Amino acid sequence: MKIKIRFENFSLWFGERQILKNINMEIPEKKVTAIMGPSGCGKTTLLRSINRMNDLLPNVKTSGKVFIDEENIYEEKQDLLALRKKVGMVFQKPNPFPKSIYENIAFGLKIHKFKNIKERVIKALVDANLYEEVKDILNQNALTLSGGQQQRLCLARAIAIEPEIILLDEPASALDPIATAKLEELIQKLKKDYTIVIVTHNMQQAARISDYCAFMYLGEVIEFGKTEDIFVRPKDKRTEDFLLGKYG
Amino acid sequence: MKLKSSFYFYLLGIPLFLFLFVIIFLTSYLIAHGIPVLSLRFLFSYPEKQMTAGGIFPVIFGSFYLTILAFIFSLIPSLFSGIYFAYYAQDNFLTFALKTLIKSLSGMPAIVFGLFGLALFVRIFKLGLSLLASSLTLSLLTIPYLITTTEEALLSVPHTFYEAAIALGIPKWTVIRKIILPEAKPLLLSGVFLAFARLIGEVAPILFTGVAFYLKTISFSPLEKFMALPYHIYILATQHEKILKVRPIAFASSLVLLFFALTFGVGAYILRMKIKKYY
Repeated sequence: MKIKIRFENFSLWFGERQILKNINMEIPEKKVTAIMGPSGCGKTTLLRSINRMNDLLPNVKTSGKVFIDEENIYEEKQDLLALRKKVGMVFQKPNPFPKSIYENIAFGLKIHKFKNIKERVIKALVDANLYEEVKDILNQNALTLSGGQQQRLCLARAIAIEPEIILLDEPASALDPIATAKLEELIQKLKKDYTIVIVTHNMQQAARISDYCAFMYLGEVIEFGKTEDIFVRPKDKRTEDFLLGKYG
Repeated sequence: MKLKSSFYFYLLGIPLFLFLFVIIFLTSYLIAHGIPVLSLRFLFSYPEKQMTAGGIFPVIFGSFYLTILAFIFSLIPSLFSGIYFAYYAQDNFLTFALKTLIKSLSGMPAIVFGLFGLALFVRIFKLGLSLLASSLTLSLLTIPYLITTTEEALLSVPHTFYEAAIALGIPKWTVIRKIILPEAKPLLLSGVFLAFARLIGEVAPILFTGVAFYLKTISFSPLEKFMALPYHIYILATQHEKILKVRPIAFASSLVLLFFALTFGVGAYILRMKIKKYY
């Protein structure tokens, strides 16, 4: 099993407040890895340190390293645009651009200078299980789609530019159960081509879709391992308490 | 309960109606006195017989030339500074100080800008009393307002669009140009229209920098003096030797000025209604 992302003594501060504490974790390639934990435990921050989106916030400090394919992405010379092209992201709330469905996907493709834009847009929509629903309305504004469709469009937008890793930040939290089921099915389908890291505070979801699982609490990764091991035989008392619903 | 709510209805309503009454009275007074003089000929002909007859074409021409030039001078600096404050400035004391200064500049009396323009553009830059000096002075007056408007318009675009584009590895400047600016456009244009509405009625900044009392011909050269609506009205109303005779012309000119200012104001309002709600 190949390791795609590796955290090495990674810590992160917002101003004086330490959000991530000495993270060490190895995320395998082409698997779904879930990060779960109670609200405010730092799971979204951990996710956003993989594509360095935390850099957008003021007063962020980091120490330690994060490797993708054995290259430290916190090196001074790291090209952030290349990193973010390689590491796609889908956010908590669907956020398609206020443009047409077609243009939502074509935009990134054009800027990254891909050829055959039209075929690629269609392929991305097909891969995101969305094409059948939108094939006749490609020129319609994306904001007219339902929440679940918007979220799959955001996934299509992310995979169109051929990333290797996809980060999902509680992608189903704004969706109804049916839309959630469709999205989870899609995630299962995508893991044969992509390394997927998903943040969720919903442990059933983590159990359903992930191969590996990390439990975070107060900025630390308490436990990391195969999902079935974590759910059946948690080693740490805090993980067990979380799984029993003692904090949410 | 009913009594109480009707009390507040009158408490809040009466000042509004008084104010409306003043506006309606003022406008109808202007219309009643201005309309008899107004005609296409009045708008498109030159003043005659020491401005006691004829039209106000050079005055309208001067006002528009001035406003458009001032607008061109202020657009680029305002747009760039607004983008800088919205997306590039760091959250530190310098930024805070700059923003505070800019906000207070937009509240500064226009006459101060006028004197500054006289010193800087007319004297130091040796532009003389000219349309160029006046429009530069006017643009100084607008820039602080337009910077604030640009910044607010950009920040009104949901941050989630920005994040989404950045996460796709798209360069920041491209994100601003292709995603943020197009979405901010209605609000930006609305601000521009309001700036226009204000600029066209300003008299203090042009008073010492190039506006003329009376010119025989219009000139396209920005180094010449010019006539402008608000100043023309001021002269006709207070300085003209045959003050009673030119009064109808003063009223008609006021009506024209009011019409232009109102058109831009209403334009801004219509644009504001077009602003999208995203969620």
